[in-house]
Amino acid sequence: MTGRILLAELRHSSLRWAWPVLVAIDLFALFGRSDHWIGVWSETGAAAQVPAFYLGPAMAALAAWTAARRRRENAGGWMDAAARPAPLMECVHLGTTLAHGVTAYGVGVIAAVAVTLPGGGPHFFWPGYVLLGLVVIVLCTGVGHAVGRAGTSLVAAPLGTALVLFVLFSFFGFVPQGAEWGLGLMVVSGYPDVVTAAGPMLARSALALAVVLVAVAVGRGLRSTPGRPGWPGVPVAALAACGFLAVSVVGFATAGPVLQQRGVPDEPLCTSHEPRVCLWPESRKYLEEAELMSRRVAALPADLFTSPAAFHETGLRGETTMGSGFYIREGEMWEVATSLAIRIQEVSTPPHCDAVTFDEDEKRWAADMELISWLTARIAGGGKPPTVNGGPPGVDEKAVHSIITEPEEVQVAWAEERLATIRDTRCV
Amino acid sequence: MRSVVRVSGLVQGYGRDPVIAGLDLELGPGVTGLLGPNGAGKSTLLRTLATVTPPLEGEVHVLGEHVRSERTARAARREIGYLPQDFGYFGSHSVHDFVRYCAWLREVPSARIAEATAAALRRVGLAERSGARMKTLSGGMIRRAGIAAAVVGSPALVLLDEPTVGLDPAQRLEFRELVRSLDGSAVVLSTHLVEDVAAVCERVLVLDGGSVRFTGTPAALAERAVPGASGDTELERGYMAVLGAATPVTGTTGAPA
Repeated sequence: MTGRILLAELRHSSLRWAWPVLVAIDLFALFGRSDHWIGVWSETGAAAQVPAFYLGPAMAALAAWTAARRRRENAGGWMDAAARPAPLMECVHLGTTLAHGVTAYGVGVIAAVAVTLPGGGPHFFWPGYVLLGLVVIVLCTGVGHAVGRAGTSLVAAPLGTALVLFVLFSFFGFVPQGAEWGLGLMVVSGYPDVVTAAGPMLARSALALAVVLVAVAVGRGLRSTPGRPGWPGVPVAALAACGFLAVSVVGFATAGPVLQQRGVPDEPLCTSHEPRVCLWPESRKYLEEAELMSRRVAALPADLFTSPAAFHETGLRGETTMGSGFYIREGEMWEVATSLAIRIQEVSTPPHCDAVTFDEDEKRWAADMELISWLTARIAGGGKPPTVNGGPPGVDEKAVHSIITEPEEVQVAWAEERLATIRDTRCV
Repeated sequence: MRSVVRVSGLVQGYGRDPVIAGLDLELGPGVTGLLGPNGAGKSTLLRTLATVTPPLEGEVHVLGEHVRSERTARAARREIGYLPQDFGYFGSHSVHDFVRYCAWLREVPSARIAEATAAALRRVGLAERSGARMKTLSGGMIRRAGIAAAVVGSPALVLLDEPTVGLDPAQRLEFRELVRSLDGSAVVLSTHLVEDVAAVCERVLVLDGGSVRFTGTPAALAERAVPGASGDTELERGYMAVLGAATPVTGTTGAPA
C-alpha cells in the first residue's frame, strides 16, 4: 500500500509542474555545452553527469519549497495523530521529491545513451559518472528537504539553499586537479584513462544516503510544537541516522580520490600507418583523424625531423600523468596535434639548456615555439580552429600558419633556419 | 462499564497556566458530547485523548493501554480516528486519495484500505465526488471529507472536534445519522451546538476552565435548568445553569454494562 500512496503523491505532487523544467535544464546542460562526447562512451557518461551541477541545487530548492509548503498546508494535524512511524511519512514525501529529480536526470542519461549508441566505440555506457551525478542530486534533495522542514519560508529557504550549494559546487565540487582541494563530486570530462574508484564511490553514495536518512529521521522532529516535548523515549531513528552520517562523513573524507587509473587495454586502437598513433578503444571516433595525422607526420621533412615510432593517448601504457601521451580534450584534435608536435620537437632537437646570453635564450625560445606552432599546423592539416584558445607564447601564429601554404622548399628553409638557431645556441 | 478512555490527574496546557488542571475522566462506548465555552479545554482534551499532545502530568489510558511513550501512543492511534478542529489537507489530492492517505497514516491493514476508503466516503455522502480535488470542494464538503478520514477503517475511538462547523442544516442532519451509525465505536463529539448533543449523544460532559462541570445524560443536563436561565431549550438552559455552578465533578460517563 505504501507504493500506492507514493504513486498518489506523485500524481498530485506540486512538483509535477516543475518536472518538465528540470528535464529542460538537464537536456540544455547536456547538449548546450558541447557535442564532443557523442560517440565516446567514457565522455558520454561524464556528459550525462554534468547536468547534476545544475539539477542538484535546483532539486535542493524544490525540496525545501515542497517541504515548507507541506508544513504550511497544516496537514500535520493528521500526521501528528498518525500511527504510521514518522520517518516513513517523511520517506513518502521525500521519495516523491526525489523521484522528480532522479527521473528528470534519467531522461538526460537515456538521451545521452541514445545519441551515442549508433556510432559509439566498443564497450558500453560508463555508469560510474552517472552514479556520481545521482549522488549529487540525492544529497542536495536531502539537504533541501531538511532545510524546508526546519523553516517555513517558501522563498528564502529554497533560494538560499540552492545558492549556497551552487557556490559550494562551483568552487569545490569538482574532482581536484593537482594541488587543488575539492569534494570530488563532479567531473567535466570523461577521459578514457581514468575510471571511478569503487571505494570512494561507495563513500559518496553512503554520504548521500545518510543525508537522506537524517532528513527523514529528524524531519518530523523539526515540526514538533515549539516548547513542547514529545512523548518520552530515545529517538533511536534520529540518533542512528546522525551516527551513520558521522561515519559517512569520515568515510567520505578518507576514501581517497574518486578517480583512479584504468587498466591498460589488451589491444589499443592504433593507426595502420607509421608512425602509429594509438588511442583508447573508446576513442574510436577519432581514429580516422589520427590516421590523417599519422600520414602528415610521416610527410614531414625526414632529414630535419625525427618522429617517435608511436604516439599514445594518455594512460595507454600505464602512465599516471600526461607525460609523453596526449589527451583528446573535449574532442579537440588540434591539441592532439600540438602534443605530437612537442614530442617530435623533443626528439629532433638538442635538449633544452640555459643559453649563455639572454638574447640567445630569447632567440632559441622563439625558434622553439615557432617550430612547434608550425609542426602543429602541419600535423593538424591547417590553421588553428577558432575553438582553441591560446598557443605558444610570443608567437605570431597567423604568420607561422601561413607558412604551411607555401611550397615545401620554402617551408623547409624556414624550418632549417629555426633548427639552426636551436642547435647553435651556446649553453651555459 | 467497559472503559474506552480513562484519564486521571491530567494536567495539560501550552504556556505557564495549564488549560486543564487535574482532570479525571472515564468514557465508555457510545456517543459522548463534549460541551463547553471557548477556552474550556475541549480541543486540548481531544488532542490529549488522540495522543497527539503528551500530558504534562497525569495518566491517559486508551482502550486499556497506558499511553506513556511514542510506541504506546502509536499503538493506540491505530484505533483512534481523530478529526482536528482546523485540519489541513493537500489541495491537489482527490477526496479518495486524501481519505486513503489518512487510512494509511492510521495503519489500516493494506488489504482493507480500498474497501474502508470507499465505505467512509459513502458514509459521508462523498462517493460521487471521490475523484474531485480537495481544493475544489466547498467548506462543508471538506469537513465531510475530514469526517470520512476520521472514521475510515472503523476505529474503536472516534474523536470529532467541532465536526459540524460549516455544514448546512441538511448536512448536519446527515452528520447526525452518520454518528448514530458508528455503532461499535466510542465517539467523543466536541461541539458548541447543544442541539447536536441532544440529537445524538447518550452522555454529555460539560467542560469549563479545564474542569468537568457536569457529566450525565442529556436529559439529566436538561433537568439542571433553573427558572430564568438563558437558552431556548431545556437542554440549553441546563447547560447554562451548569456553567454558572462552580464545583467541578469527577467525569465518569459510561453506558451501563
